[in-house]
Amino acid sequence: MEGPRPIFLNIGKTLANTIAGFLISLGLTLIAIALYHLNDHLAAFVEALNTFIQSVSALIWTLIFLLIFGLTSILPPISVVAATSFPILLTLSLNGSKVVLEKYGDIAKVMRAQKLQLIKYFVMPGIVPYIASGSRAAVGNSLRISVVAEALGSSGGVGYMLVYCYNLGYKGGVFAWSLVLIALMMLVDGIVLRPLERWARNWMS
Amino acid sequence: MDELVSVKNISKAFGNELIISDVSFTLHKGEALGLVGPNGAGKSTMLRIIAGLVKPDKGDVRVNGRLGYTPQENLLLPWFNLKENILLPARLLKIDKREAERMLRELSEALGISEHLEKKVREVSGGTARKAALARSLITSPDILLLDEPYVGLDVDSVKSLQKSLMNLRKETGIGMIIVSHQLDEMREISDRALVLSYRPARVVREIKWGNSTS
Repeated sequence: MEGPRPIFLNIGKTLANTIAGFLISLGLTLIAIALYHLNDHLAAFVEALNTFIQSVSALIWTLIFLLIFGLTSILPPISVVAATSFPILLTLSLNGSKVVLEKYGDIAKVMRAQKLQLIKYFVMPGIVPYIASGSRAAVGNSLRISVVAEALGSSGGVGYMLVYCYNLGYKGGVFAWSLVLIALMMLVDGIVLRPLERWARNWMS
Repeated sequence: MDELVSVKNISKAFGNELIISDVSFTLHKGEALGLVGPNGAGKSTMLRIIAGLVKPDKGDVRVNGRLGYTPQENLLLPWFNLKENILLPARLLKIDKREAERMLRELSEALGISEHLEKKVREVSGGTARKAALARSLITSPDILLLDEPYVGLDVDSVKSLQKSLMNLRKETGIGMIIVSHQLDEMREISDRALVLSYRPARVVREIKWGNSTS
């Protein structure tokens, strides 16, 4: 079957959506973690925000971002990936930061670390392994979700091709693109995420 | 003699269990005081109270001077190498970088860990890590050093080496030390006197003077 775009361009588009969305969620997570440890009010805000974002389904995010940015924009898949990855990364990183402070909080206090110093020297380096573990879950999730967002409103990507083949009644195409997505997830996991997790485990040992 | 630490009638309970009951003692300038008792007696809690990490339920603690604290688990940060770990308190207190580097050189030479400074925590032995934790406590030139079970988990050679380092440190700096241990023998070499604590609640049941004073 000849699609409107060559196969590598569509895979590249899905990967680009996933990476862009993941990087946005990573940035938001780091900001949220810093805010969480600045004071109790911000901590309560971050906890509430996390609960709220977690309770919104990927479909709702997709529809909201399609309404905001439009059907042909490149932003809906990226935004949906960011919105759905953010709570995964944030939850794991928050738990990690609590574990880190449980262990090193007293020594930081004896050293008279100020709040910003605590975040810079203790919390942020300490959550690296939790971010690495969270990244595995978040990127897996991102790849699945970006396909849904692409299917509903995009002009390319694996999700778009799946719906394109489905609409043409081309079963072989649907199965082929499904296999491409599975292979892509396994490849990313094996080549990038697992080694990253192993490296992060050494970081803490 | 000047009082560095004054502990008066301290009591502490966790839940319904009384851990420390009416303990009083003082640490004078240049003195090394041992707190000896069985595991779980409340010795570490006592150190944590002095360090300001735990509030006592009753009693009063006064500390005159800067504190250095070496916890039992070292708690060196695994994402830094030994040099970065040792320099961290100086960096947090914004002590002049050259002054901190000078202290680092002096301490690492005195403790015999100069060749390990660029290594990560996982790459060094327990004895070296313990000395690095000790150097970290000393980098800000504290007046009082709190040592929690300094010899636990170390082999005989490392214990001897650390004992020697601590004795040299006392001679050279006149620092006051409170050392917690469950082994009375360990206190003989390093402390001037030791307070023997009972098991839960911790009370001072005996005071032993060794007469190792360097002052």
